[in-house]
Amino acid sequence: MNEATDEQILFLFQNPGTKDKGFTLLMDRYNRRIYWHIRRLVVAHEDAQDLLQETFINVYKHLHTFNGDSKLYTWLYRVATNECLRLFKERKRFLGSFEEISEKLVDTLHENSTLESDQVLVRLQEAILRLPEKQRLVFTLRYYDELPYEEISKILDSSVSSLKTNYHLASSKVKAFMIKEA
Amino acid sequence: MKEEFDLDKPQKPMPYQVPPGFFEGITHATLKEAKRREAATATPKSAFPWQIWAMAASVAVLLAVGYFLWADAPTTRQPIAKAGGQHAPVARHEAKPVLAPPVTPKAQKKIESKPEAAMAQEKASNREPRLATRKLEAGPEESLDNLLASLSDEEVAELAAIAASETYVYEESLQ
Amino acid sequence: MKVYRTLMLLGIGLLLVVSGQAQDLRNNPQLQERLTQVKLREIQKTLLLEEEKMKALSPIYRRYESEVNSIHLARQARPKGTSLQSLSAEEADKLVAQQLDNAVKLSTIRKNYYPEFKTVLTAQQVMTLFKAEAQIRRRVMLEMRRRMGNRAK
Repeated sequence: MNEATDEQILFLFQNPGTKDKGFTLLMDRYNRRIYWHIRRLVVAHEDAQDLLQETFINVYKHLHTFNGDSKLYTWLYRVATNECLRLFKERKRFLGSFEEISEKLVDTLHENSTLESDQVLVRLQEAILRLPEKQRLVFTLRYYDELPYEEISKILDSSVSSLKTNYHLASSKVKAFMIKEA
Repeated sequence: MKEEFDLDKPQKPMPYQVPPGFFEGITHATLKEAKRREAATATPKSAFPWQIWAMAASVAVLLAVGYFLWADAPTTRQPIAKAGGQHAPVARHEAKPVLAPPVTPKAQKKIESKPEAAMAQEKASNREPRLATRKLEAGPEESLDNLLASLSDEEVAELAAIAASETYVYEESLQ
Repeated sequence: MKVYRTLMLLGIGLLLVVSGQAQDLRNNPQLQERLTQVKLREIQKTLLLEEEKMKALSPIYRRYESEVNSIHLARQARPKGTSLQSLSAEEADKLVAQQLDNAVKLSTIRKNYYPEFKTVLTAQQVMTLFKAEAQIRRRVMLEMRRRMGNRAK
């Protein structure tokens, strides 16, 4: 069977009788992609699970406001990214600063990695988690999700030139960290 | 020799694991939760602020009106009581068809001499347990979501701070 | 007119008293009671306990909960809006010492109540009970996150 298109999903969602079907198709289509985006940012599976659910619950509530200005997945990334930023903001209240959140995430990364985990991959994640928030977001969206700068700009509300600079800076820092830690 | 790091290699795996069957179950669980929240927020939550304020205002007005009625009472009641004392025999005759229980002169004196503050305290002590009982009666039917929905932001913040303090000291040991 | 003004002032005063109390769990035993009842219901649901078992568990859990609460409510939280950086070394030191102390106290309470819980529940069920409590804490934090999100929108 062919996978439903975004247009078909939106059509099903807008009809009260087929809303649940549309939502199910939407989640089945995008939940892996959005989960991994969230997981890369928050590290722990339990947090990623909570945020993935919150993201799609928000989508369920507000999808009717989606006006088609951007691609559907861009909108989903935006909602998911906002959920992650909200978590960081909440943690900042308890942990005090962004650096402390990063430290906590690095701890969680090492707790989550097993002996079988590829140590190069773990170090790469550590390098990314040590980046400043904006750079980390740009880097993961560009490097892992391979999104065009134009789409990232819609997700993060930032200009393309600023995103390019941030990505360049982030890549240099990640490379430097990997060389130092090798 | 150490593996060389290449940021530009095409495969970008992650060092994380996902519990088996997670993606198969998450859609159904999320849809269920979204529908539950939609049902829960349909009436009470969207109307939360004004309803609560309206209720609080009504309670305040009722209490205030009650207070004034009650505060007025001794000033109007006192002369009657005194007058009752003066014309006791007449009152007793006339009192026959009155439905209220008869007040003995001793008790009458007690009522008259009871200071306002003590009466207010008695009133309050009569009121409080009733309120508590009502709340406790409502308790067993209350779910966690309903309870959370009924709390103010400050109360949730306080509970969340307690929850967070335990998350860092305890929850991890359960993993 | 004067009566109106008095009524309004009284109403506002009452609202302030009510909202002032709502901000502090310590002064709100009714909320504490509601929380305990909700927790007991969640535990019953998670452990699929019959009424008879719940009757036996309930008094033990209430005593346990009240001891846990006494630790939490006595806790000296970092004042609202202050970051870790803004604390003096002495204040931070005091806070860390208190947090570590509380962690030990909470563990001790759970350890002390474990044999008593086992008179009603199996060891596995006690573990599930602790997990159910952790799940409740998680849901409280989620609610907090949700409200912060709504405020930010």
